[in-house]
Amino acid sequence: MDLYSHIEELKALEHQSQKSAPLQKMPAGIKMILTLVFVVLCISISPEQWLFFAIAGVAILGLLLLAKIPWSIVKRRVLSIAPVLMLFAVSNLFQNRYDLFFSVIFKGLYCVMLVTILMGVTSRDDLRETLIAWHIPKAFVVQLALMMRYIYVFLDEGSVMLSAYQLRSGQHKGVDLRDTGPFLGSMILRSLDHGEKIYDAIMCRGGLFNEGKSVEEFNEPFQIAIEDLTLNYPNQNPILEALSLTIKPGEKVAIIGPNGAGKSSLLLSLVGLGPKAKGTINIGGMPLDKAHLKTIRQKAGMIFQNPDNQVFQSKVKDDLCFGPKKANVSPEEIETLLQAVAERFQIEHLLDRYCHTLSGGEKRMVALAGILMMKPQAIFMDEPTVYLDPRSRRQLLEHLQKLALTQLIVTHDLDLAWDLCDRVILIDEGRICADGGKEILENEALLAAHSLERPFKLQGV
Amino acid sequence: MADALISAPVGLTMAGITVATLGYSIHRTASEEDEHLAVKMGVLSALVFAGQMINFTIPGTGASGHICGAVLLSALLGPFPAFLSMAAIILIQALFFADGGLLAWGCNVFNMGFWGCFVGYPLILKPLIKNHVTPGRLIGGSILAAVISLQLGALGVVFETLISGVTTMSLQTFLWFMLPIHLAIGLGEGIITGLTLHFLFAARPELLENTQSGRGQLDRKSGFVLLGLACVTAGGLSLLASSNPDGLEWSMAESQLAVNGSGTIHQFFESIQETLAFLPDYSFGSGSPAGTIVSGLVGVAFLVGISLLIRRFLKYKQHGSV
Repeated sequence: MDLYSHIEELKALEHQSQKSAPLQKMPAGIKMILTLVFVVLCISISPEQWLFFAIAGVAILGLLLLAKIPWSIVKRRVLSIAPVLMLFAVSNLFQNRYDLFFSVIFKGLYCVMLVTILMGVTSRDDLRETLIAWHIPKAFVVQLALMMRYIYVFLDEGSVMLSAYQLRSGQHKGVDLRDTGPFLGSMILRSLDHGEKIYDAIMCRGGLFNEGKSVEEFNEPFQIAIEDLTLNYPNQNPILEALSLTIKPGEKVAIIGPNGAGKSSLLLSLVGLGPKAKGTINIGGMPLDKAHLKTIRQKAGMIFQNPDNQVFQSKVKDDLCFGPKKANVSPEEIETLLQAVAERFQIEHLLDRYCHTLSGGEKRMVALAGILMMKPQAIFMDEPTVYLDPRSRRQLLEHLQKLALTQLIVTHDLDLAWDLCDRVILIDEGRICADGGKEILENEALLAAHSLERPFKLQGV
Repeated sequence: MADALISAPVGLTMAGITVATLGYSIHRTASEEDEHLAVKMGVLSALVFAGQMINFTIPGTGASGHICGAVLLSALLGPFPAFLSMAAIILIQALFFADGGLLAWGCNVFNMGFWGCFVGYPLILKPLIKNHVTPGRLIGGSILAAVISLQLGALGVVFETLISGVTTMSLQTFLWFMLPIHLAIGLGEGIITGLTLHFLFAARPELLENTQSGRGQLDRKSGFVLLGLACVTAGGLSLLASSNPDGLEWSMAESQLAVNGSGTIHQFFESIQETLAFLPDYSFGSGSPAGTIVSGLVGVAFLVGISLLIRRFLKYKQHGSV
């Protein structure tokens, strides 16, 4: 069975665990303890105690039916564990210990079924919250949660890399042993980079855990004030140097500049991410510090360049509800919000789809809708039109034009800046080189001096 | 290792020992204060997890194995974060994919994680590449580290299964069955680990350098803590062995039959064994469990001694003096 089959199986179990049935409703902690006790009892049955084996078998069969675990999963799991059990049990046949042989086989199958039942009636979120409630160290639970998020993404990434490798190498299956170093090494480097971005997106959208209380309401006018901001990585020249800037409530601002100018780093610094910052950032009257970070991140939505980094839940509906759930918004309010946002972005038909099956344009819409589920006062966007076809780009532009929020957009798409923004800031080599209205986009000499060109629609005018 | 291959006392004892090691690893990892470490651990764990889900066939045996990943993780994260990652990987495999078993979690984490994280990398690979990294040292050291770690892990599987009394296989047969397969897996894993580390060292040397100089390293204090845990493991398992009539004793009896029934080579080794064995039959002879505990501790001391000797030898090769 390949890795994708395992993942599909996992998704089917997760789907089953979210159904409303008696076993699913039982507290996760009790289910976990009962499963462990049942496993220990099964393992402790002596080989000659056939009555106990029969009772345990009937009980497990009953639980499988009650939990409505798909038979295809039961069959696959039996087939996958059977060779291992046989390998160890078969030696008992040579000694005429048939009781020991059957005991190993039955115990193995029972234990596998018990874990399958547990996972078929317990959602991942419940499991994680139970571990936290049991005071399992956060470092370990974070590790489990991050792994589960990353596995799906890297499977896709790995399969793309494998296809590219096989096309270029002419190899039909797997990777040649001599190429495993570069292949795995590249995969690790790409994944580390990708992983950082996903982690940033998770942090921006409420973190890994429910904090137990809703965030405070945010009614201050949404002004962004940056003073003497310097950003730098250790032992490198500053990315931004003593940058000061004020953005008024409701302004739509385009930040333009050549590659490596520090635009994306500026955006990340506004939500407390990216390289080490010196200077002050004040958002809506609150300093950007540890005490206000959660409120600021909820009320200032961040749209990342690659929607794959942002849309990380299994299903669209789960992804849209991710932020409000982390903020402990009531289920009724989440449902109302969900319907309103889905209708606004015309994505009702996508709600039950798996995120990895969406097109680039659909993912971008879902990412924007997910941010709006948090009722933000501002949105920060990093290259929102990349990966979009013309139609999806137009639809996105129409949505952004209708949004009466403070909008800060880092973009190379100067047509988008022309159509959407009323203020343009040009950044190069870590400094503001120009700050004004749309006239900046018409200044061919200024743009050319910073490796930029006028918007397409102005060329030839 | 599946739940059915161990007894409840063995599973619970190993789970307790693994939890204690994990607790200490979390304590050491939490003190790292590197916010990117969590991401690095999550990413690398997910990759090793994916690697572990893919079985490869051992040529000529019909058996299959999968990479363990502990040496690779330990080289890129440091021993303590790597052990934490291995514990998380194996728990997710047990829970979500019913691969490995819930009760066997402690055994699996110890067998697959402990030796690679705390012996393979820090005592074998790290001294080899500490001052002078070459492709040969990286690949050769990785192979040596992976092979030794996997052999120790396989020995763990053999003893835990035999003590549990679920198979009538003799100790010798079991060892002949397990060790060569894990030698092949270790060679494969070592080559893959070495090639990957070599690529990473060329592309992003700081990934390896930071691990070598980070605070999550094995030092004298943590060495003593882990030695204590290893002693508890050996003691606990020895106690279980002495109390289980169908377990190791039974298997040893089978081995004895095999030895008696064979030729002069076996008799020669038997005579050596009799001469050297100062704790024959894993006991002081009175049936007291104290003897088996001491035997277990002696076993651990023996393994630690070998590891220290390897380390000294590698240092000697590197600096020309001990």
